[in-house]
Amino acid sequence: MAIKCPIKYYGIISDIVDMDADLAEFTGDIPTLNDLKITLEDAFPDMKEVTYLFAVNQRLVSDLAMELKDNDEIALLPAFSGG
Amino acid sequence: MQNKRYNKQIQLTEIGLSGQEKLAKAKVLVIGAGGLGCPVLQNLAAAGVGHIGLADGDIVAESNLHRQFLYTLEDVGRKKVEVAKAVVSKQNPEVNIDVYAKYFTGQNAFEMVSDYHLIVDCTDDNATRYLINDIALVKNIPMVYASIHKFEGQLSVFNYQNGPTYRCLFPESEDLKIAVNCNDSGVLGVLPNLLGIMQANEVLKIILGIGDVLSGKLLLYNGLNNNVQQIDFNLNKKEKDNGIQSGLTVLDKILNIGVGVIASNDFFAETANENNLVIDIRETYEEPKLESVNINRIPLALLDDFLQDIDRNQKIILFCQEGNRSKLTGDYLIKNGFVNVHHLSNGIISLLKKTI
Repeated sequence: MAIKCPIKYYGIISDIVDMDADLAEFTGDIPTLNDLKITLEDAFPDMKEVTYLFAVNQRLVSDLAMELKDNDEIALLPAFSGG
Repeated sequence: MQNKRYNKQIQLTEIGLSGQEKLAKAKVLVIGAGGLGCPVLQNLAAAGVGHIGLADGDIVAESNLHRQFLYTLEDVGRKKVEVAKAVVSKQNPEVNIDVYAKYFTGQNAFEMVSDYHLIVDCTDDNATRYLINDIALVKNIPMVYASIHKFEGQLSVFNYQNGPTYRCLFPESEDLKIAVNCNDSGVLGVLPNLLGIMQANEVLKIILGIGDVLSGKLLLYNGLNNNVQQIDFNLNKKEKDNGIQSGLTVLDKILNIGVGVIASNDFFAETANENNLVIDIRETYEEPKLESVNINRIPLALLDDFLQDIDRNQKIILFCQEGNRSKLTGDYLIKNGFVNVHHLSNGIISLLKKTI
């Protein structure tokens, strides 16, 4: 069964992927945050140069081994620096 | 507070006269007088926050004017903090504004923060954010944070009632330095103004003790599509400890400013340098006399008077007969706020040996 997760991109990450929202689709094994990270960084290698955080369902997640469920809302958050 | 200036906010039951008095007594330090700092300062002063510090070493540039409304074309080239103080004092003469025309650094951080109850981070670089965070942690005062990227803004309050810190959200890493600042990426003027006003709102809520303070939450705003999101995050004990440790290291460096040592080989070059204040602290009867226009012979009993009007950053070179009294005197000067004090380590005697 496929798992679909809406993704929101912020700041410089949004610049790199050139969109502010997307829908990730996974088939096969239960995906983890780390799987998503690897997929995205393969598609957008510039992301590897940026430090960013993951939030799942509006909560910061530091453990990338977290398994994703259908409809989990994911956000990719870099620190902003402008003022 | 006899006038009608604050009537409309005193009228709010959440504020009232007692709230207005809290605002009048509050002491808030605003670090950065740019895109965020201008609206923060204007709003805090207008609301009657009694004591505001403003720190920024920058001068007004024409390219600031589209978003930093305290400044006009006539101010280009002037120190931001001075213009800001003049403009804001005119809007509300009841507010005391102390300005520091310098950037917030490890060297001045503790001195600058000492009197304040709250810090507003209006800077545009992350290295300073870590410094502010760490100093705020050691001093146990809250820090109201905002930053922007193009059309997006972030807002949060750190170290509020032992809540999460900036490091709990963004642990320090070398990579973070890649994040570009707004000078490079451009910014629409409304965005920092909007975020600055939201920072001022958090400051006022903290002072007044009303509403929900944005602690443990990162608010994200996107001006292009009006999306607003709040992300929850927790205190990370390890990151908090890192911050405290780093803040204490900064403090330690300041406290450990020692008396610098001048070797006898370098002594004559240093005393000839007119930028240095050279003081012979020996009593008038002590020999050999060392004559030079740049040498001040000030016996210890007269030293305090002599130094009264001397800038605490002035480079001072002390010497005596054998180096003991000059070292002790140097320690005394540092305790009294001088930061650039040196002495001839083995005294005049060491010079005599050289010439023989």
